[in-house]
Amino acid sequence: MTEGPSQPILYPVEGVAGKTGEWRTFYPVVDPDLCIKCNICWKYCPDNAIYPADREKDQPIKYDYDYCKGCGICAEECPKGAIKMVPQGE
Amino acid sequence: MVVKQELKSMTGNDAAAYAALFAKPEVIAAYPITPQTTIVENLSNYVDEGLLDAEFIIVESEHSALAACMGAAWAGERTFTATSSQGLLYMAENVFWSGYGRLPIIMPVVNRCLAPGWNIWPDFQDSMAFRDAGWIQMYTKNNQEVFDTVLQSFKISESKDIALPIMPCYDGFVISHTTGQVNLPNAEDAWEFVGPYDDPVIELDVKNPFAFGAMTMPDQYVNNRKDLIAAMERAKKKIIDVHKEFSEIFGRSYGNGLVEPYGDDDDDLSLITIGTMGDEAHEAIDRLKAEGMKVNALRVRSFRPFPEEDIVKFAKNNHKLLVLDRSVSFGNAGQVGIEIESALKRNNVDTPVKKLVRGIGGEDVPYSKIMKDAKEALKE
Repeated sequence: MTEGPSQPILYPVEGVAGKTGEWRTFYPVVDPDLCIKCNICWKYCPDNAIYPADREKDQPIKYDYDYCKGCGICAEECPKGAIKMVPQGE
Repeated sequence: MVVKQELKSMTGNDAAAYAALFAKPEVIAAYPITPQTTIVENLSNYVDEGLLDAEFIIVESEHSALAACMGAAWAGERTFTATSSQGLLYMAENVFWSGYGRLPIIMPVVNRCLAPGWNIWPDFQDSMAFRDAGWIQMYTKNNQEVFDTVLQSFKISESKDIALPIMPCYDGFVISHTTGQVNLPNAEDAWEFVGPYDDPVIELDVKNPFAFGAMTMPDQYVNNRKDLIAAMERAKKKIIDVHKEFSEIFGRSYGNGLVEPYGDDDDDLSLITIGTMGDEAHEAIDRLKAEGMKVNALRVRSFRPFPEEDIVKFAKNNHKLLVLDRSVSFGNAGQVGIEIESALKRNNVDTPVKKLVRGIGGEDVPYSKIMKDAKEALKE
């Protein structure tokens, strides 16, 4: 088998730019009582930093704060207002 | 042994469509444009009639047509499209993406001049504008060669050590819409020659996802381009090898596959041509010889990669070259002429080169006009 051409291909690597969570100025906090486990936030998260909710186990979503950059898209998209953006350090 | 073939009458576009049908592309995406349209019309009929099991994607523009082909090529599928002129220009961004991205896409370019003024007749300005896009470009002289070249294209382009998209180019209307004789092999023999695309250059794998064309730092970018340069160099031998294999099976050849000489060496004047002017040049040579002149011809079949070694060797053995281009780089001269002149200079060959631009915007270039140009060059 011949080797393929040299192409501009990148494979995903976890943390290639370090722990990008350090870039955050706001961090998301989910209210487990309000979370209906629809996982809309998980779908919208551009950084794959949300672990999806599990309805069967009645577990709400969880955040991977090492890589969440605090963009707030999850809070914006949450249909129940269950996610709040809190200034870092509060 | 040469396989049995059937002599048929068909247009150049029919010939291109037959070659594509026999090579069984898995994905075809195209947008109609004169004079290419009937290629993909034929193919869509083949798909409709169940003769061809391909995904035929109807798109809203040429830019999307090539984008769809790129997606298919990334998925590791055999991919075909065709275009012309303004359509090719509209594809521009993706032409470079697929060339620099090393995606084996087979795309006949039915050459048509560029607007303004609006004109549907042939010259090579459209494909020549993409000379530097990292595509192989082969120019053909008649309907038979269109079939043969499109069929060969799959083997050249999809080879893993080449991995370059390819434009088989041919004069609009003069070839595309003119009926001529084509010796057509049966589908099985053609398939036996082309074979399946089973060792893809690149293949989408959802279990091992990758990003294509993401931010690339200068050192990696340079490596990509160096590999493209090397692949173009390797493509010369690949074109020769595929052409040789083709000739053994189907009994037809075009010089060594890169250039097609006509007549003997050591003549006073050599006509260097491209496209259908090459066919007319043969007639001109025969008549000039009958008048007692020492002339021969060389047709450039592969323009990218540029067959420098063959052209230099040919020039060394002759006394004067007259290059007829069907396109022009404004501010300089015809592209073939410019490149031949520089190749000779690089190799310290001092055979004089006269450059002429002929047949722009569909201007007819019959053998009589070529004879007149040749006689004038001989007098100088």
